[in-house]
Amino acid sequence: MAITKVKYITSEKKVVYVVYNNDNSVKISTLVNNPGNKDWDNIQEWIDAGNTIEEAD
Amino acid sequence: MALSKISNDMFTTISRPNSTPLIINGDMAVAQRSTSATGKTSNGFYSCDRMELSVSGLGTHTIIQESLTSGAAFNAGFANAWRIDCTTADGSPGSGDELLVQYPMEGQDLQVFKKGTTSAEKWTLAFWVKSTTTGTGQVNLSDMDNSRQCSATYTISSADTWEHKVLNFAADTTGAFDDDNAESLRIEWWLDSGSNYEGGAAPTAWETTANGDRNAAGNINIGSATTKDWAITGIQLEVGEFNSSTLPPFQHENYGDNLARCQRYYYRMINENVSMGTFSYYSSGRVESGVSFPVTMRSAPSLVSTSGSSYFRVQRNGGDNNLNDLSAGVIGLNHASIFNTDESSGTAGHAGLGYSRGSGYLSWDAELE
Repeated sequence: MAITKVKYITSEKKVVYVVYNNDNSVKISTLVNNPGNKDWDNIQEWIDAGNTIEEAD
Repeated sequence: MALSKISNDMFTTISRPNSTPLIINGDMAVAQRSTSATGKTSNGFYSCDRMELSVSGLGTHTIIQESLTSGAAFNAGFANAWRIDCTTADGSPGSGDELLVQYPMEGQDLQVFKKGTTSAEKWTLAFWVKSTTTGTGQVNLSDMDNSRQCSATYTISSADTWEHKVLNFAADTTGAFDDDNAESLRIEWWLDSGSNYEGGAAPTAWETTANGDRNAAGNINIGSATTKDWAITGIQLEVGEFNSSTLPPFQHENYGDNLARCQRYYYRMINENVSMGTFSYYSSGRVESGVSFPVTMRSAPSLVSTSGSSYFRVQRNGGDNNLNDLSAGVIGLNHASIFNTDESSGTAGHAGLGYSRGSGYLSWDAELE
């Protein structure tokens, strides 16, 4: 599955939403800087590939 | 009354250094996510807990927790199995395509094998398997810390018949497992593959991982026809070398213990149309609640919330506040908070009863992958 969007939930930047394959039927929240969590590991790879987490609303 | 005699006939000596089964949910009794998941073309844990489908470019599949009512596995005490049915075939897989089921394990649960030391133990893996296809299947122990692997093969002798397999793997004096909560070992049952995973030889001694050896001996090719399926249950990992005569009995756990061990990796908090407990309004635009996990999670989990119109509801102050989904606030190993700011509408300081509606569910995911 490919990440299509990552966004901070709040301005505190402790938790992010991650969206895979533009699938908005589920909302996945995961802790920032949480190695060993598959979603955060995926996000880290996504960041390493040059992507950026969106700011919170 | 004084004890006068203990008959030796009453005891059987079992060489088993672990007190509980090393494999969690080996009897496939727990399936928190679903008992049947269709249309699967990508990796995931879809049915029985701890069992991960790994598929890339090699067909479409249904993953099932199969209820057993007859056959040798059922007669051996197994009422459930993990099963894959091919629904869209790929008879000519690309070179990098793969289809396998795998079971990941934490390094801290594997120290008993003393891998990477001069006292390293041999391994025995036993399981019941049934397939529509006769042939050879390859199983690998894959060391994720040191990129090493060791293999064994089994034969499906009779189609559509449960068969018990006992496989031995060599000890490895090279490459210790990390003593932590990360994935150190992956047990791989290969079901089909492209040429990148074939062409070598299944290594019966530990070696540096080589893709060409990972399914070199397998030929059951479950993804090649929609008539094919494959099922497994009674997975048992033992320290030491055993055969079908000396293998210790499968350690059946009660469902509650089994579920609790699964919940370290995945916790289906609520399914559809059930209460979520008390919510409170921090402000009109923010409603929130605390969550206590039933067991300590492996790592800080992700919250997976379904999202759709009015999937959740908080009853407060004589009315309803419908919510589309929930987000995680603070996430720990034992507790977390959930909240909604998008549809929240209430009065600061008020409380209400939350519940899920329609297709709303929440789960916490800390699986190894």
